[in-house]
Amino acid sequence: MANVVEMAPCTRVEGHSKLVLETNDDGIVEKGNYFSITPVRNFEKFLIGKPMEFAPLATSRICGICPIAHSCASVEAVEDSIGVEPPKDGMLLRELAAIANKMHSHPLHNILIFPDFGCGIGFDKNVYADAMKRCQGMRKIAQNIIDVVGGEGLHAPDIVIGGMEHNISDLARTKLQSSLRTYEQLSNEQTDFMMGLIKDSDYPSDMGVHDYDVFASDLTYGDRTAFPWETFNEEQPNNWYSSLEVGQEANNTICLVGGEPVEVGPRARAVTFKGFAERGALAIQKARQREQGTLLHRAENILDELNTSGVTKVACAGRGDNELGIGINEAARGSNVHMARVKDGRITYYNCIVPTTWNYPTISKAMEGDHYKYAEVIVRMYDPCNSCATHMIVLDPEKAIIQNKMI
Amino acid sequence: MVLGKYSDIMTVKTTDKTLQKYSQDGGIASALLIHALETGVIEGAIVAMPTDEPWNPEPYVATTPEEIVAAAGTKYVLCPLNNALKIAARENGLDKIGMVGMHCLTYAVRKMQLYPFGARHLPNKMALLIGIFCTENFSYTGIKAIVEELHKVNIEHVQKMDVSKGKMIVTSNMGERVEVPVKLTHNYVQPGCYICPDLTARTADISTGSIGSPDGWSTVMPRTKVGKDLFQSAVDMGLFETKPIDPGKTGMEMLTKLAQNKWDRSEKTRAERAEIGLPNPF
Repeated sequence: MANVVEMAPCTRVEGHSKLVLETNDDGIVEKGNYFSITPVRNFEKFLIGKPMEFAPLATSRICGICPIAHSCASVEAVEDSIGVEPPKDGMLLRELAAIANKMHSHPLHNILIFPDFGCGIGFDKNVYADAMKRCQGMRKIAQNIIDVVGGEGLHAPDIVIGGMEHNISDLARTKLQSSLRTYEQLSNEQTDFMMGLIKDSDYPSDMGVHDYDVFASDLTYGDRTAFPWETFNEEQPNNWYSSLEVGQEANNTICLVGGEPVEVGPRARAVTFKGFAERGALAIQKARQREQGTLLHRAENILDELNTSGVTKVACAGRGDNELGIGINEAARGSNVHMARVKDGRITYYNCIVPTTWNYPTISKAMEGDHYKYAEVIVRMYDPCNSCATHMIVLDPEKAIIQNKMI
Repeated sequence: MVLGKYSDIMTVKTTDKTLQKYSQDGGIASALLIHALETGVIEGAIVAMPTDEPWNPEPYVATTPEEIVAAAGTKYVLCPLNNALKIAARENGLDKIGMVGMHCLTYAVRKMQLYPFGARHLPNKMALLIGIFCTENFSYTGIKAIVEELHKVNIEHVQKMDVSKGKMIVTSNMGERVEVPVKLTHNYVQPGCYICPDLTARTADISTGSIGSPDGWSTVMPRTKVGKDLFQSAVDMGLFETKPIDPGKTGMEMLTKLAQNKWDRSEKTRAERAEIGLPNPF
């Protein structure tokens, strides 16, 4: 009988999650189970019947790290449902806010994984302090961009159905451009630092390698047309995890493409759009570090391209006819997909497939073949956000709730 | 106590002829804002900008002297300038914000600076608060009713409004001047003003108003280092003509007396509210 190693909760990840690993006598993981134990949040259910304008405001509250990714995916889903297309300058500002969201999240993740590379207790205090200051400096700049563009750094109220509530002034643009140059300097130093840590680490180079495909809709923002409608299916955890006990404890669904897990996130984007070929957990981190340069470059382009006198919002002519709308935003952790149906201005259906939902089965599989001591490191390289990814109410065909977890 | 802390008090008017033409009295607020803008103390200011609806201004983030001049002159109507604080700091990208307002507005800003709930990154961006003397204020419908019912002037034809020596004076754009006793307007005062104890905006960096000074001049009270330094540099550059405030009945005595009256009215109102179980903000 296989040994079972349980780790709960996993530390230095957002939200609460658990690892149940079946290992052989050498400690090599033969069956990996990574799942959410964060209590169910119910966003998809309480949105039903609410005005469509409430969707981006509410879903923004799913997460304090990726509120912009949720707002953007949400407004895009509603806009797709009611048939509204925001003006160019509105889309540019929205993309800038979403990019800034990633520009603040990636350094935050750096802080979370410092100890995995020995950067913590026992490390050179001054070097450690400098790295922390750099990360916080980068986060401050990125959050300020969201402050200016979205109206609030955390739950930006200016991301609205039809575009963006306000344009920004020329002065604001100039200041943001200036702050991006500071960010670039910090980001370059931090990337060099992290790449050095990765290089000096003694993790196996094939740690966390898997054979699954990747999915990314866009390099910096999101593209709803990329969604794999033909091959996508969402399963309940009972059907997928290795034991019924795990399946019943898991508070997440399993999203598969062509019946197989997919990886989403910075490596998936780099593989899809930049020809990045490296595999494994450390490759995800390398892709994440390099992505900051891509984001920075696109942010600069957006500010150059933006017409600060341009219209940023259009009025919503229609109020929805129950069409299924989809919005995809490439969040820091991967493709964040929101789906909505809107009828007469009210939500009739809502579903979120957030990045970590995609990655749960991938992470579970990725640690198979590695020693269980690397399991948490592999998890953290994916930067999972369990708070976002928790959602499930299982209904039978007669709509009776047959699983209703910790609500 | 009723006048708050101040480093100096004097009678002042601007030497700028354009501002003299457009401003209410001494042109102090506008001149100080422009001076602050030009010397980099602020990057922009929140002002009450006239709109297409006469005498119903809206909060506006002014970033040029021309915009500040366009907003010059007192409007006896509520204008929620604080609503524009985030607009100034966020999409306008201002890191040093100036604002002109009565006690209710400056007090709110100071309170926000102490407890910045819902005002993330705003407190340290408030660079200058210019306080305006205020006895009471009106809603737009209130001031419209006063002008049209009491003064019998269509509000669209009003060129200037002023309160002086117990009279509310309306000058039409045809040059007609109509006066009514201020006490007749009291029924239109918005209720919050009866609770307000502060005539001279004690929480501002520098306060100014017509009370205590002759026509065409304003009383100025620098209060904080920011206000004092700004005013002094403006005086040094010859932007203001100054003279000591008249200590007598039409000067300091009147200012103190009216400030005390407002203070007493507030205490009385708050006592009455407490007696019937209504909440008081302080």
